[in-house]
Amino acid sequence: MMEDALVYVWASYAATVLVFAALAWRAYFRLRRWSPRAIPERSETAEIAAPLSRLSGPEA
Amino acid sequence: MLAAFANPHRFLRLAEALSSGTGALAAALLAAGLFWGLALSPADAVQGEAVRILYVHVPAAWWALAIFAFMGAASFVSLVWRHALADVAARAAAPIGAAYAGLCLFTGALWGAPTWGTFWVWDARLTSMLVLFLTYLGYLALWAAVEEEAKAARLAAILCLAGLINLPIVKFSVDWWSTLHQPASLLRAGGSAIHPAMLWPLLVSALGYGAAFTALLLVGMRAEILRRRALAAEARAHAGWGR
Repeated sequence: MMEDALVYVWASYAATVLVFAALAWRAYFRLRRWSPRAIPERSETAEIAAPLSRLSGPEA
Repeated sequence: MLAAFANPHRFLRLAEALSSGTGALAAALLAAGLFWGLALSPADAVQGEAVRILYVHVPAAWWALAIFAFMGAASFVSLVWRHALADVAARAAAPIGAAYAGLCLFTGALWGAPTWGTFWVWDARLTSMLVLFLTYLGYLALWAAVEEEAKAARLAAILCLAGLINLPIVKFSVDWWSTLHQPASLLRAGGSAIHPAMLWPLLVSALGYGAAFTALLLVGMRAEILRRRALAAEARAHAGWGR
């Protein structure tokens, strides 16, 4: 019975560590994805794409 | 006070300054609480080693309730005063609260198996906690399902305010109905029923969960504000193409 309980104890602590690791991982990657350092790349793409889209009208 | 932090730029600077400190504090408190509960605190005379599960289960339950109350307050502010950061705060808090509620149910089941002889019973405390977890999932699903963000924020705030009715049911379920789950041991008339050797690791662990929530909330709110800014910039760029 004692060994059985220890298995449940270890499973609980492992689950807790995994949940906090997953939350921290998610928070870090969401912040990195939308951080100002990533945004200029997106804006730059948009600025490049804008004139291209104007150029790509119906072909003569 | 509220107006001072309504400025997302000012909030971003404050949140950036606080994130690392609260994150480090959370890691230290969680490590201390888990180690104390797992290795240093004594086994219980009745529950044996299974009592150690309570150092991770009980703080998860407390904070799952507290986070939903926080989301309710933020939703109220969002609906009534249209505070710029209120729905950002509620949305950023929801995944953390859902994870805590899920962890509470999972560790509760693992505690129930050696102590009660079953992982689950449909008693009032367990069922109302499951309802809270499902409300969290519903709140997140609503945000994901409605494309127009202003509408999603309004609907999610209404769902959150309606879900608040469940909080007193979870808290007082053990007093109102005859449940297998034991009544309150800490916040009860006559003071705490927990021995200090078990109370201290429980409190340290609970502080760790709270600090982790604060750190994750600050980072989540920063990411959400930056996401909205990026999407607004993209929308402006698209509008420019049309000209």
